[in-house]
Amino acid sequence: MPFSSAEATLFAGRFSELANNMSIALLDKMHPIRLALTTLFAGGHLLLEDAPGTGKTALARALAKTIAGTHSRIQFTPDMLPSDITGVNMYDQKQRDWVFHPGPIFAEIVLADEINRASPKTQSALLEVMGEGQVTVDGVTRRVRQPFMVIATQNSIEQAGTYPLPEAQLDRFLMKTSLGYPDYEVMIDVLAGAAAPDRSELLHGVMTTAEAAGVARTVGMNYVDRAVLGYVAALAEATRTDDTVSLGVSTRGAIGMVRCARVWAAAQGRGFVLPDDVKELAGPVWEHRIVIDPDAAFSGADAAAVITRALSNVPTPVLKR
Amino acid sequence: MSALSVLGKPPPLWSTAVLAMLFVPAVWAHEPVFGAGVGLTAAGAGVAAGLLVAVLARVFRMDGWTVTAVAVAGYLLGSGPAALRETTLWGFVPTWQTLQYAVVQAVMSWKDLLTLAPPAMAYTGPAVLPWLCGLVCALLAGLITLRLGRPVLGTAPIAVFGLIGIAWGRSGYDPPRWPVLVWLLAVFVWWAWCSNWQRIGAGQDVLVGRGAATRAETGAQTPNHRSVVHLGRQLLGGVLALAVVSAATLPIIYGVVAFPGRTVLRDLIEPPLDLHEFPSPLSSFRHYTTDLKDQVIVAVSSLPEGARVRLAVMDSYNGVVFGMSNATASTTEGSYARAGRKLLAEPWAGEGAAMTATIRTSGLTGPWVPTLGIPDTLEFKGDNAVSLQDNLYANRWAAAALTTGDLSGRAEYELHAVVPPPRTDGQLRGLDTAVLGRSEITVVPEGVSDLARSVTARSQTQLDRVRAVEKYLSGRGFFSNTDQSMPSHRADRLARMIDGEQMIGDDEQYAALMALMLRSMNIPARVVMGLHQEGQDGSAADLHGYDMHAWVEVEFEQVGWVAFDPTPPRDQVPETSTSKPRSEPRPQVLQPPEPPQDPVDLPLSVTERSVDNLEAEAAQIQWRIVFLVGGLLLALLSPLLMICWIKWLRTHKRRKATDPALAASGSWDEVVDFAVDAGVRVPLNLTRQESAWLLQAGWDESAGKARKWIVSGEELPTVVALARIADIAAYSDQQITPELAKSAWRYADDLRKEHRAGNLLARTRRALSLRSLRRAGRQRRAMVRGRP
Repeated sequence: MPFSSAEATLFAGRFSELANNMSIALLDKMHPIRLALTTLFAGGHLLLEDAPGTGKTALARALAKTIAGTHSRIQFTPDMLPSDITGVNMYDQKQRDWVFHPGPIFAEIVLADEINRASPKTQSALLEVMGEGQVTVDGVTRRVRQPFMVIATQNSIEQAGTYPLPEAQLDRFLMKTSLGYPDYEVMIDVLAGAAAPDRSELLHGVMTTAEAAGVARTVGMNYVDRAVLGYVAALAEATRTDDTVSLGVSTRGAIGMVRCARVWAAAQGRGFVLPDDVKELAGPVWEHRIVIDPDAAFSGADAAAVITRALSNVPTPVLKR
Repeated sequence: MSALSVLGKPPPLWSTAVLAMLFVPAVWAHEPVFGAGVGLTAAGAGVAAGLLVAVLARVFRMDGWTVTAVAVAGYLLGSGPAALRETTLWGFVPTWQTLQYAVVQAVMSWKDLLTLAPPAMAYTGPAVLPWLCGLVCALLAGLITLRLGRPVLGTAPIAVFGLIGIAWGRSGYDPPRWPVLVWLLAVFVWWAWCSNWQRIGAGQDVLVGRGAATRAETGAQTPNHRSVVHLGRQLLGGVLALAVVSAATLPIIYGVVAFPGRTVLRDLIEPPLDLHEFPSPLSSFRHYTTDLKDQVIVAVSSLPEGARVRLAVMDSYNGVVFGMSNATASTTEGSYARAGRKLLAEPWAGEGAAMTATIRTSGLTGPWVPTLGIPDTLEFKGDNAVSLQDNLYANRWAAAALTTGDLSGRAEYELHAVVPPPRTDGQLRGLDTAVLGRSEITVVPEGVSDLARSVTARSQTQLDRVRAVEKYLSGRGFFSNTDQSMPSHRADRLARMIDGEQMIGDDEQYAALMALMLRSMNIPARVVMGLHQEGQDGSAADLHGYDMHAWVEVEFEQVGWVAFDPTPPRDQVPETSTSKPRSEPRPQVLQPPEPPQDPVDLPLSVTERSVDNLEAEAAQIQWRIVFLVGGLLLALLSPLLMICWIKWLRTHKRRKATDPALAASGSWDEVVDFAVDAGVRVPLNLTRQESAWLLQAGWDESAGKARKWIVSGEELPTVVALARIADIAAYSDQQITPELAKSAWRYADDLRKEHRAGNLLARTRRALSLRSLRRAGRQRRAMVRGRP
């Protein structure tokens, strides 16, 4: 069943409701909020790279609250084990049986704080769940809840004693964005409301988790013209052929882009994807997937510049069929 | 690095003055051939105009097209006062005629100046050469020097201009040579100064001696190395270079070779033979047959039986005289070409008896050289043999020859020729006449064609017709070369001859009349004048003026030209009764009713005719010029028309696209192309929405007012709304209705109307702008590249 433009209008309304609701908790962060919601409906995971105290946890909580879902937080440390995430089977003396104690991963919205502090083994355990949507403990496979979204954060400042995520794992995050510090005026507003310890307590659920999962399914059928698909493919190709790049956007990256673009377009009430959507999303969806050639990186090249170049070199499609 | 190869900073603007000074001797070289300052004015004005355009080009940073346009406009406007003053109003306002001359003479003056006799100031037109040449050379010199920064190369056009002046100059004129020396000196100084200036400009000052040492020690970057020491060395070097160059060039200029006078192009070319220069030999027919009646005109050492000595062949008639038609491009065959000794380019293919004869002529007028049969080789003898031989022209078609050498009525030469056998009527009867090729009969006397038709009414074959005419004339006509029969074969003379009670005339009139009658029936006929007598037997023969005849030749297929004699026998004299009334009223004889009927009449009427002719020709030329200029304009404008046409086609294709989706997105493309042509930069990588907002931003400033459209709850300017529609058409799965496409086009048209502001110039520029077309090309290429 294709996604009609009437549905798109409806979806856009719901989307704005969600976003507005969330922005009660995060003042003046509309763009990251919309990106986070897009990630949610596209069925992906979000990587936040930010300094401490910029509202990463607030975002995760607000998101969880808004879709009336559960929220859990894993603070990663170097001594953390995979079972600390997935949960463990423990022997219950009363029941005389092994009982599964689910880890924090069994929640709709999981905040994986400072993911780069954990050992690669633990990181991998998390990333497996992200990829498969299921957890296997002692031979028993359990599905995680739906919708399921991991918001991982990385501290971009402290690099000592960390295990930066390898490229292959970065690729599993659908988007990367950052919240950043608020403006001066907004800061004052934030401070004025500082009496409430957790503003996300003020939020109410706008959507149920079941509805969110359903909407995510229908919105994934938003129409994308072949011309736009061609545009995405050409852009991906352009990042791969760039001189400063050693690893360009993967096929998974291009697929992710189309998924995001479907949601992004629908969120603006459009029953079809425009090249504009692709352009807007190119940074958040692709920037973390591009690996810059070390020599070029040394001389100051970065992924953002690669994407800008690709966007300016690839002409937007103009002809239909 | 050689200093000369430095493509450096162009010299300062004031160096235009230096260029102007360097042009002075070159300008002077154009004067002698014109005289009275005409050449000086034209060349000087050209140089001034060219340099002015070059300066403007530099100051306003014009592109190539603009410079060309300005130069052409300057050429057309300036040619009046500079070179074509006779055609202007009050000496400077160009008229239509000025422009005609300017266009035509740009091509023709090169030839004209060489072929007419100096001083050329007497003619209108040739002065265009120094004017045009000066303009082009000065413009080139200026552009190369002032914009390219190649002062050495920039002096080349000056030299070329001077050399053209010398080459197109007067022959036998030996100008002073010191200006060349001075010019060379000046050029060297100029080169030296320029290269030095450019080196300094490029920061490449050559460091020698003390300056270098100081710099090496201190590492200073100050430009004070142009010290006195340097100046001294450079000066010394310059003087040395000059000395060497002078030592090399002086002997050449002053003459180890010591060339005698100068050889100019004029000496090398020869004007083409203009047959109209020579009076028709037929007009002196009466002179030969009466005044020189008993004088030996041509003496032939052996004259075969039946052979005729040919003097000239005439095939064109303009109402006054029979003459030779000049060769045109289509009939090279009938032209008089320089022959040397050998008159026949290839051996005679037809049958005939070869013969050799020595011919002596005396008393002949005109350049005509009597020949026999088909002349093969002709060799002059005697004192003036060389000049006669060198200037011998032969016409194979006419089997005739002429020489522009000093004939002065007498010559002696040996002739090898082939005499074709005579043709009998039996041989000719079955043959058709050849197709009439050349026809330069511009005037046919009244009654000639009627007469021809009535005479040949009962003839079956072509030969019958020819014979009928011949028989009619020779049978019904009367021969007279006295007062009764006026010499002349003018149209009125021939018309009266037909109308009169008796046909009276001699060979001149009968041959002309027969040729005209035949030609009126499209039978190829020509008038031949020559000598023959009865009783020829192959021995030596003296042909007198009395033996001068004119006859008609008709061309038959396979056989060629066959002679016919329309002249009545000489004893067939007119009845005296007609002369009686003439002699009765004596006083009347002194003042005959007809205006002077002697040759005196001829020049008068010739002028009349020629005025008419000239007018006709002028009209023809006018049309030709109109076509030429029109064609030229069209050729010049055709790229512009092409651009408009392509754009129109593009719009049409978009608007009329059968797929409404294509039509809708086409409306947006149309708006973008409109904006691009107006000078808005719309990068290819922008989406429609982005472009729309970009356009809106630009137009907001210029127009200020913009209607808003509500599209899905949003308030949007028209451009953005249009982009939305195009986006829906291009990327959505929605069906676009033709109505929507139509309304999109309405928006697009409204937008274009709204932003069509600007003056005529801006509109024209937009209409002719190539930007949108180039953008489309870039887009296509980018799409091909961008799609892996």
